[in-house]
Amino acid sequence: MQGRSRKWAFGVVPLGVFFLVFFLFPEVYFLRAGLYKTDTFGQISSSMTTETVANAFDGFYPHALYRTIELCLLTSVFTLLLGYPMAYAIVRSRRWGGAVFIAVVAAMFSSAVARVLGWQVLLAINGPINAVLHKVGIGPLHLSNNFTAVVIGSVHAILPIAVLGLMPVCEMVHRAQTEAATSLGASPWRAFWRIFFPQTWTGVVSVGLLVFAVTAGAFTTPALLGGGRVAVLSVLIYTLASQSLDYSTAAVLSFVLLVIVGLAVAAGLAVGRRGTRTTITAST
Amino acid sequence: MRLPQNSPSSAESATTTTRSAPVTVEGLTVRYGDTHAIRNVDLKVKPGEFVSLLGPSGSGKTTLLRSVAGFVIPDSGRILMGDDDVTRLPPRYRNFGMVFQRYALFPHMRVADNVASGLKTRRVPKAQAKDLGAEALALVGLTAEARRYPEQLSGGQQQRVALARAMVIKPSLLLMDEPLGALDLRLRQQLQADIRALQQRLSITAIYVTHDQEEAFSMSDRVVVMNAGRISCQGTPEELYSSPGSSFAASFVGHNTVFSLGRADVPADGTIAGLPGQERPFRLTEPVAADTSSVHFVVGIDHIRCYDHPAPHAEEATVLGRRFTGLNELVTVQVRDTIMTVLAPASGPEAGDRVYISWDPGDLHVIEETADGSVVRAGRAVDSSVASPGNSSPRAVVGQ
Repeated sequence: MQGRSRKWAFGVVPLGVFFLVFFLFPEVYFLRAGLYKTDTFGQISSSMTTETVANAFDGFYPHALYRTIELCLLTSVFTLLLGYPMAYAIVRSRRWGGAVFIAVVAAMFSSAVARVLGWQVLLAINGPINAVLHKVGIGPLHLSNNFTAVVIGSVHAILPIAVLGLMPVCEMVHRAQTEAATSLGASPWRAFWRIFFPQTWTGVVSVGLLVFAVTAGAFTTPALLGGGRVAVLSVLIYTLASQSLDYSTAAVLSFVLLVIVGLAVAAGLAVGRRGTRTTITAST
Repeated sequence: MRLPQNSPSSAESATTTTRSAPVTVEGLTVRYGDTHAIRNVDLKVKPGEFVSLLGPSGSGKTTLLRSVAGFVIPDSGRILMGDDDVTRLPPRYRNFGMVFQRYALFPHMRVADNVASGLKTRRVPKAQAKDLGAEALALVGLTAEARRYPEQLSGGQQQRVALARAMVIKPSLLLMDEPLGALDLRLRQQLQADIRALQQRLSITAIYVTHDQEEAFSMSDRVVVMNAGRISCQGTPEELYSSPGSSFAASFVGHNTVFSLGRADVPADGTIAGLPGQERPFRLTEPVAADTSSVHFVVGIDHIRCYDHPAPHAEEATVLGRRFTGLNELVTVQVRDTIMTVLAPASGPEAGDRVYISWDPGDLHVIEETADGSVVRAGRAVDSSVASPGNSSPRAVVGQ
């Protein structure tokens, strides 16, 4: 029994060491800078101060925080609206399921740069989307190098992961349940909303929160598709750290971002666990 | 939404007799891609009749049931409920109740809401729905569990809830797809009796899919044996047991031994001798039919004698294994190349022991079939008073 109870250490110890050396230590080392002040480019003051933190919550930075949350919320909502029907089709449709699945997975393996450049071409003021809109008498719309472009790009980037996350959620509801509902006189629409959807919504919320967290931390899409005009936290941190060399402010904003992502992940896990717990406790 | 004619919004109670519909299936064919799940199936179920579809997995029994439900759209053929052609009618308009293999209760609803869900769909007034639901739950003995969630119930209780949920809408037809497959034997037998009693009390038409012959035999008015997408044969449990209508049914049901001969192996004069354990020759009283390609001789297990000592006309056999069923002890024996299951003699022989097997041609049951397995003729048509042993020992004997 002694030997058996220690076996977990073989897995946990290397993982712990790795986490400590390559994540926690650099993270703390970097975040510590927030308690100091950047005097000149790249030089951190020798004495601790709350000045940087105070400055960070003044002026422009709260707007960046608001922008980040707005981007994450919109991305989560649109991703779920698109991803849920796709996951449903993959799980339920004999005819379309395979094709949708392949399309989703293929999108996941495309490079981020190709994806972004593709959207830049599509969304350009003289691009194909505006050309189509022009034909039906709308536009031209400013779709590129702005917040709209970032939302579109973010949804595209995260959609495959969301669909893969929603598939097991949809698979949980056995086909016989919706069949039972139809045998009892329910229309397919009613069977979906009364039987299928209620059993999946906790899964939907936790996938939504995951999307939220991943989008908050994403840098490539907002940096490239925003055309430098969409100042979400991740982009700001990059600019501060690599161009202004203001490590202290970058550290403060990083901490704020870390808290947002952390809260979203924790909420997602809590919702997910609550969903499973009801079934587990109910079965005992 | 068009409501089924047989809506429970009338003042009837759940325990009164429902109007049950006859079901007619005509020339039904269902293909999945290139394979036929069922081909050209005809079936008539009388009002109030309990019919079991019995067969191995892949025999098409579930596909046939799901076609009747409307979950499968057939490639050709018709399904009638009463006089209405429902072949292409969506399931929700067909007014049947269905009990599924894994219960398929709605886990996010309480037992009472599960049972009432069909009434809610039919817009039955709340108070009335509550009464009807309570009555249906009482019918399956689960009144005390009304406020629980399905996962809080045992498998047997869950399936009873499913039964109540299916019955509360007063369906004109009850469909069951291996509903007891996930339950242990004792519970299964209890529920078999419960379901049968309920079905008879409400005299509702029922179609029941199972691969368990004991289940089919103990519950049904009529058993339909399916194989490879066709109805192999059908009859009351007694008929199927004593005189199975097809060689497949004979080998699937009970513990019959089937000796199969190719058409070419049947001598011109119809005299058969030398089958393993055969006591004396016999003669087919009628010539083999024109389109027959194989002739099957079926001997029921209770007609095969097994001695632990040499006996007149008995043939030596080797015991391969023994099996105790609870009621009796069976041994599997090998006679020449044929393997048979017989009732063990009192001495209880072990594997490797010698026993002696014999059977009387008078107890034979003969089935003639075409190349694709359809039955040409089934019945007792042998003359076992043939005097001379003859010299026409058949080749290629296949026993099952």
